[in-house]
Amino acid sequence: MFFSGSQVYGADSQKFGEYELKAAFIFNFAKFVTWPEHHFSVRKNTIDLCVYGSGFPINTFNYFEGKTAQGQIFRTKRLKDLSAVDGCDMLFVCASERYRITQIINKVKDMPILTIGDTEGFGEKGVMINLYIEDDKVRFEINLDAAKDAGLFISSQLLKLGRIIQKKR
Amino acid sequence: MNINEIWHGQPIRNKFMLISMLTVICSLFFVSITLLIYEIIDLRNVYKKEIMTISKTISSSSVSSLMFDDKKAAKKIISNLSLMKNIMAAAIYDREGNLFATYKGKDEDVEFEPTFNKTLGFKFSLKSLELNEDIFFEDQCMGFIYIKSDLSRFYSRLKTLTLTITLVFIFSIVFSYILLNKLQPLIINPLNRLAHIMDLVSKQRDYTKRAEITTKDEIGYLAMVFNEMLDTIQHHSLELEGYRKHLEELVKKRTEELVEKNEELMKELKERKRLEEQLVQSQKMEAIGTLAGGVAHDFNNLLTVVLGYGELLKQKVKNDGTLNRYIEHVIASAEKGKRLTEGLLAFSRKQMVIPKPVNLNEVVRDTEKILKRLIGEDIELNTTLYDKDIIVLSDYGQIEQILINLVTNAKDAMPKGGEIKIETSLFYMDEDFIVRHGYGKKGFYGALKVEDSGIGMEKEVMDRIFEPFFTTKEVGKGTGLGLSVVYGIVKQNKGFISVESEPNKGSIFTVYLPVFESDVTVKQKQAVETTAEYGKGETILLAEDDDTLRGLMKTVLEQFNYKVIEAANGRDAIELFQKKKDDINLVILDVIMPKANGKEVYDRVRDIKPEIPALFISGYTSDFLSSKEIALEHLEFIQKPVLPIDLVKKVKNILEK
Repeated sequence: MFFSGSQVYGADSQKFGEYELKAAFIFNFAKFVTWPEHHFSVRKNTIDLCVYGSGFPINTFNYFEGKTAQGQIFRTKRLKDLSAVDGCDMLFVCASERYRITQIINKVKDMPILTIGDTEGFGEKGVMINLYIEDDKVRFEINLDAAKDAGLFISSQLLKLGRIIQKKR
Repeated sequence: MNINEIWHGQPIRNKFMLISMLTVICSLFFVSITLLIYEIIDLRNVYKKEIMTISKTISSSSVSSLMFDDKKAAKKIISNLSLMKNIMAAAIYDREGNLFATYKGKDEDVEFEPTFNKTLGFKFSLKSLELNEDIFFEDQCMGFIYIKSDLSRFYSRLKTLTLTITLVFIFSIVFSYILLNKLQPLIINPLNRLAHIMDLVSKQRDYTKRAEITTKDEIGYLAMVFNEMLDTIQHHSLELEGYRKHLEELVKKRTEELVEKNEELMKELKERKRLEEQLVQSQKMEAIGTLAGGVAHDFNNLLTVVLGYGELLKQKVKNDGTLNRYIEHVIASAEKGKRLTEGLLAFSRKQMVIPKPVNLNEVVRDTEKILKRLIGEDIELNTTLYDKDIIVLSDYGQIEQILINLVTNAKDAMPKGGEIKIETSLFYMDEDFIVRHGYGKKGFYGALKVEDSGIGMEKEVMDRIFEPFFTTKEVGKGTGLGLSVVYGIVKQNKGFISVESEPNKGSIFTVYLPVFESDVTVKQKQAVETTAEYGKGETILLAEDDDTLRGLMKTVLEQFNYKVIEAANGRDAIELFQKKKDDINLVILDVIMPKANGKEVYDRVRDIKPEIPALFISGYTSDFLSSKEIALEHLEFIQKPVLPIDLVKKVKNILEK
């Protein structure tokens, strides 16, 4: 038993707050996504999650800071300027950016960056995994086309849990 | 009986089978058990692996469900186990141990524990296999999984397996038994054959048997050694048999020799005893005879004087009646005494007789009438005569005397009457007779047998009957000289007398007198002697006055290849010799002859032909020639009765000088 007491790792919206759960989800996503070959070896040995926009307390990720996923060290940072997005492996777009989402997606769509949101409609807009609440439980939808366009491979484990959006084709 | 005894009592075949079967069964048993255990372990591992695989699959499939708290998805995943019939139940617990998702097989009634608090790993129970595992994802525990599997399939497989192994086990044993049974003769049979041969050898003692060597192993070696042993035994046995036979033969030979020697010794002893008795008897008789003869001779002279003067006295006193009567008594007594002395003289062979050929049958025939008168009417007299004449050289009167004396004795032995048998026969006295009776001389004899049915006598009496004056008759009835006279006459005639008697069974007296001639004896002599060895045609002048005797001698001499000129008296002999003096090689002269006696003839013949040899024949040596004369003039002499063979031998001897 690796975890005990108040330490949150799994997902239970009853016990933990919404953001903590979402943060855990996001960290776990890192484990089920495969980046293009040589992606990490060329650059570095970290998986960098960038949080863009405001509204999502970034300190909820503190617990996962330094943990590993797929052998890489998980790190989080707030992204202020979108032009620096190429240093990110994952990009969480907060609800505050709901009006600029298309621009953001267009900016990163050809880059190997897993895009994540928690705002309704983001999935259809091209965000690869979009979180939502259903029956008091956190669920997610997956834009498989967007991920494929970016050269990312999402595990079937994740696919069988999420709702698949197929709109583009 | 304990196991050890039973074991030792078993034939080697059974032992072999038992040991082999025990080994096979033990081996098969251990192999089967090992196989079974190995199979059980293997099967368990297969089951464990299977469940582990299921567990891993479920774990990896459900890890995302756990991470993203998706019970529905987990339920969906776990429900896929329905495809696995043997899975009875399964459950997923989250990392805090709370029940997350469950699965129940058909007809299964399982209560899941709400929280996970089990030891990790496999747990076998009688009917099921349970697995408790943690679910890992990237080195982190995501939850736990519990799977329960039904073991009935495992047991049914185990059952099949056990059954198969048992069947193989039994089949192998049966197969082994058959194989061993088929193969055991290879080892047992040579041994049995060897044992059989040993048995035969031991029971029949047949050491020629040999064991057959079929193998080159220890049994073959045993058979070989056994055969070598048999060779040795056979060799020894033969040797022993040889020794035994040799020994037996030796013992048999020695025994036979011993028996033979013993018999010889007994015979010799018997003969010696008889000879001794005979010697004693004859010496006694000789002594008595000499005594009696001497006395009788002197007595005879005395009696002659008494009688002579008695006669003279009788003539002188013939007118005196009383004196005459007295003198007649004297003369009668003297006469009586003379007869006695005559008897004694006969016994002592001093009686003067001239032996002549006498026909035994003729004497018996002539005397029969006198004998019949002698024995009276109460006694029957039967005579049986030999069918041919039996000539013995004796005196007619003497033989008559013998007959009368014997018959008188026989009569006296039968006071109540009876039968007297007289028999004559020709008898050849052989070695057997001589041995049996202890006396005798080989040759032909005329036998005169007088048999009565009277009182008989004891042996003691028999030994003494020929002694003079020995009598069993009443005093005054006999002289005691009858048998003594017989004895004397027989001895004088070179004969023998035998007595057979038993009390109350009668007596048999047999007198044997040497045969002078009979047709039978001549013929038998011819058969015995070969004629060729004797005469060479020499001429002999034979002078003998007795025609019968001369005829006999002539026949004998001619038989032996001599020519014979006969002369009936002395004068004829001299005349014949003068005529044929050149032809004559030998003269045979009877000493006593009419007209010129033997000596006179001899003297005349020597005057004519001085070198002529002569042979004298005589009944008495002292007839005319004293033994002194014979010695001085070297005269050849042969005594009557002349036996043919003696005559021929004598003639041959003289002619060869």
